[in-house]
Amino acid sequence: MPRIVDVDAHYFEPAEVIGAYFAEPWRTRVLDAWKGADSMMTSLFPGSTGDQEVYGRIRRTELDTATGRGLRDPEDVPVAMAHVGVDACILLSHRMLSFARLAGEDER
Amino acid sequence: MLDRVVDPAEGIYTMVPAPYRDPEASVELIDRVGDEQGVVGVVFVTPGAEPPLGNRRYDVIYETAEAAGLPVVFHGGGASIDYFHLRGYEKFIETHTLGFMLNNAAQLTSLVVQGVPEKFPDLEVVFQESGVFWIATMMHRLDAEYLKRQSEAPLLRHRPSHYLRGFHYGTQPMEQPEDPAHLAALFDMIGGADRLLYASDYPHWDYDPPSVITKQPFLSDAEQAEILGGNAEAVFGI
Repeated sequence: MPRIVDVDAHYFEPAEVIGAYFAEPWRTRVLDAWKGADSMMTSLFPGSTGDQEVYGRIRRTELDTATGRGLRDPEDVPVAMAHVGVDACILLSHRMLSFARLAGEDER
Repeated sequence: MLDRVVDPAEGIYTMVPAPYRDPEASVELIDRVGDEQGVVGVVFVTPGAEPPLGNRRYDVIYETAEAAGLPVVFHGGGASIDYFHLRGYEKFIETHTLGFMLNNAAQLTSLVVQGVPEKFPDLEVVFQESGVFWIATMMHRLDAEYLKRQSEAPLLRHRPSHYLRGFHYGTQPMEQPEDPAHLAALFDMIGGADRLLYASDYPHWDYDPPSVITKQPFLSDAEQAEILGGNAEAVFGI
């Protein structure tokens, strides 16, 4: 079997982890939005609902892209790579990918 | 990502997410982290790019990526409420069919017609997350338009399909035609196995395992190895 490289995988770190790198006042916005929410969605990060609307046709219970379960902590990554069956991966921060689309001056 | 996750020794890499609406900030970010261990490219998410990504305002980003030896990766998106649902499409199957492909097709058209591959000849370009069949459609549609209106694309020295055969493409979500010969013909049309990069899109619901490549009867062992890893090693320096 050749070495397998996955050029597109996504990492769903909690918003609070990203928020810690932000300057104020955005750091407070992210961290406040996160409080008490078992979800990746905040008022700052653009999001989508589409991935969840699969109506039970495809059951992949090992992961949940709404909460990031399955690929939200560093120790999840080797487990995920073994699950998919790859030797290397290019992992994108899913929230930062969305964040790069923002245009509002107050959200730079 | 760099502090907690990326670890080239364990095969874990990442890319710089370009905040492309602010080209200066994008350049600053690439300059700051582009040479960090494990950073192998610059990624643009394609839905919502206005002006489209061939516009010269983005040239400084491409120039910086090219100088840093980093590929630019155009990552599809747009399957949800942000475009099509707001315009009356009701089913996820409709928006998911259209969104990823049309957003990538729109940015690819702009990139090629505005001459980005001519302006930055050493820049590696990758499109991903739209499957593979759209590539041949864009090659032939762009060629047909170009042959009628070459004066509108003065930077091009070749047909648009020439540039598309110079790009690389992520395979996910790989289409599964009933007749594998159709997929074989498609691979041939876009320049062969060396244009393709295996991509899973894990952990999204429609992720592809490596078997989408290994089960194709028309691919030789060498071609499978290229798609599964060899091409990525060459493009991203992994």
